[in-house]
Amino acid sequence: MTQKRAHRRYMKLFVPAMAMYLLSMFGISFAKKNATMPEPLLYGLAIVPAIFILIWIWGHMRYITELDEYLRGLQVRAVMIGMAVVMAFTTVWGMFEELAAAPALPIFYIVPGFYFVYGLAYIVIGKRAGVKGGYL
Amino acid sequence: MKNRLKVLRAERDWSQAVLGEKLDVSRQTINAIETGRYDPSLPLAFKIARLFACTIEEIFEETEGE
Repeated sequence: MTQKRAHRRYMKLFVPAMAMYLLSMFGISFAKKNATMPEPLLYGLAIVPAIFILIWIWGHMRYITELDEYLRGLQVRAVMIGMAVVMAFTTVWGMFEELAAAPALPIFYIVPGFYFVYGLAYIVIGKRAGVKGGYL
Repeated sequence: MKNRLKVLRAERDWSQAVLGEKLDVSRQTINAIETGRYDPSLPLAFKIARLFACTIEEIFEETEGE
């Protein structure tokens, strides 16, 4: 499979999954503020954004396996940097909460936080490796 | 690792994109191999050798300290 085709396949899955993730996040907080719902229903609704995250990550995994070996290596490095930063930050913040009574952060920010760091890392890695956009 | 990929490609008047298409890899990958920033896997090295009808050793040369 060509790299362009792999990228197109990824975007076809990423864009709707991302849109549905955002819609479900906003939808749930809007529904919680404006409607009285039984607790089990709220728990059920809380699972919805995670379904789109799993679809999105599955698409990303498929994309990485479809890339050629060099671009795959760049992607894996960016993912590792994203994971390292998020894991280090959440560990440190968790200890702050435990030991220094720091305010509790909403953990659903982990996913956007990871993708933000991963995206930045890929831009830097890609630029150093001569990959101009396109294969993020 | 040093290699003669750029020379072999130039002899055939192929662009990096054309060579990438023939090997089913990206232009960026060809560029990274040619500039010595990336050493290809054994399957890709064999593919390159087959395409240029050479042996791997005729294209890739181990540099000191590797």
